[in-house]
Amino acid sequence: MERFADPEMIQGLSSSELVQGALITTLMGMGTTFVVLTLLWAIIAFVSNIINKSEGKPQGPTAAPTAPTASSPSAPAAAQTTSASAATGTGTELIAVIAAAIAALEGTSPNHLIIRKISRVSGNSTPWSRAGASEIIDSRKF
Amino acid sequence: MILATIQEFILTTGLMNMDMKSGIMIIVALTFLYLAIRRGFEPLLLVPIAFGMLLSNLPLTGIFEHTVTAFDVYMDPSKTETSGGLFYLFYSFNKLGIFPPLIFLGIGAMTDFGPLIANPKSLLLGAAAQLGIFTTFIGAIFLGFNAQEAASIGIIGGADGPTAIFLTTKLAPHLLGAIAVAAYSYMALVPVIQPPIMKVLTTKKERMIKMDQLRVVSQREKILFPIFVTVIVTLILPPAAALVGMLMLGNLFKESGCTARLSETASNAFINIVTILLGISVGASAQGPTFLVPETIKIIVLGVLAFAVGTAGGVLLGKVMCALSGGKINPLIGSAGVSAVPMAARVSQKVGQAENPSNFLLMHAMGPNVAGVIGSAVAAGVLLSMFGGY
Repeated sequence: MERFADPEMIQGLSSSELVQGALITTLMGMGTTFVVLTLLWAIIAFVSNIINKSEGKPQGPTAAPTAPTASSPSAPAAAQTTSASAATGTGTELIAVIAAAIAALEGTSPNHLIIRKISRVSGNSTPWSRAGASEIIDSRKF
Repeated sequence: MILATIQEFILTTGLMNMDMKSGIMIIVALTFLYLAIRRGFEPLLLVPIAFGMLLSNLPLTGIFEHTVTAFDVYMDPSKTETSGGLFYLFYSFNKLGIFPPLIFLGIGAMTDFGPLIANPKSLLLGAAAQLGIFTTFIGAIFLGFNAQEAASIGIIGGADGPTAIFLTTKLAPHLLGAIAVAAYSYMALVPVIQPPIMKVLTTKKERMIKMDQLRVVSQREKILFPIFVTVIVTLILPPAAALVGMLMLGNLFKESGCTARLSETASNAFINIVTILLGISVGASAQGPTFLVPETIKIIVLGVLAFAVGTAGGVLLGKVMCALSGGKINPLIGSAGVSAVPMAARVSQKVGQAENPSNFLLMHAMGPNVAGVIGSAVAAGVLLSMFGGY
């Protein structure tokens, strides 16, 4: 290995010795890279754990009110009906907007529409927000 | 009398002193300028590189004339003392290993390690994508390069310009021009090189996997991260200290919350200034007579191999992790483990979205992507400790 690393002496090595040197380098290199990064993984996970535990306790009461808002995006995802969403208050406005949008698309008056059920197609993002996000990603050049 | 003067003047023009190789390099430089300006290939890097190349290949400018010190004259009296050409003086900052760590300072100040902290498993993908470095190393040994040269060629596969320059100046400075040009050109070509490999190695079903949203990372974690990484990596691999240390210092400026001014400078004016000088001097080092040699062609071929194998390594480990996690990890994020921030992550995003338009892999891919920066700096540290000092 020493002769392999010395630019003066590498010429004198046979090809089997070269293979050996190259393979050792590869094993050492990949091995060390993996060991170092795995170690970092372990330590990051460990530190994050400690921090989240210590921050989790004092935040206990404040975390509670945020829980309903966190779960709300999944609520409309599950087949939101007009009667159910009307109870939340913002639902009627949302229904009006959707009705207006459909009416504009169909070219009729909202009075001709009867909305029985509004449900999300998939996930909690709309095609519009997805298109917008892809556009932003595409427009960013580094 | 006048005729003789005119004749003499004509002989001192660049036109009369043009040689074939410089001519070819000028054409290459003009092609790069076209690619950068018209086709938008990494213009921020390619424009200074191409212009440096153009200027240093125009004859008789002396702009890349090497410095000759009084000591050199003493050793070899046939030389005359000179401070050297402007671009060579810029270049000496590369040679002394100053510019690459400074670039890393700026990169650190621009990088959000949040996705990596939220999903530290991606560090493994950042390590797997360094496979290209070492397979290329083997290839280069067989093409007749010595270990130092092979290591410098392999590091192209790290897809990290500053790291490649840093390692090459320490191990094989005579190859710097070719390696830097190859590394930066391939980085610009990441969106062309990677997708076919990613598609061959994954199934449609795997490409469509949606990943769970990443958790929110607290500021305290973000502050501790650069400190821990610096200490651990430097303890294991002291030669990586300059690169990793500067990267993490830049990141600490960003995350500490009390050094906003430093962070702003490092990520804007500072990195731009260094990029201009580094780009010019790297381009200028690609001078026809020394650049157009068979070695350069070998390096360019090996470089693309390095990129391809690195991408494959990342995707393959991604597949393993996908299987182990019960199909929760999309293997496409593995290819982002070759550094090339943020192009490689954008490629993962694009390939994933081509299969499933509602899939957003970008933030998941940023984890392996920034892990790749750490990974290639670590790989450079390993190579330096094995082959440095000769």
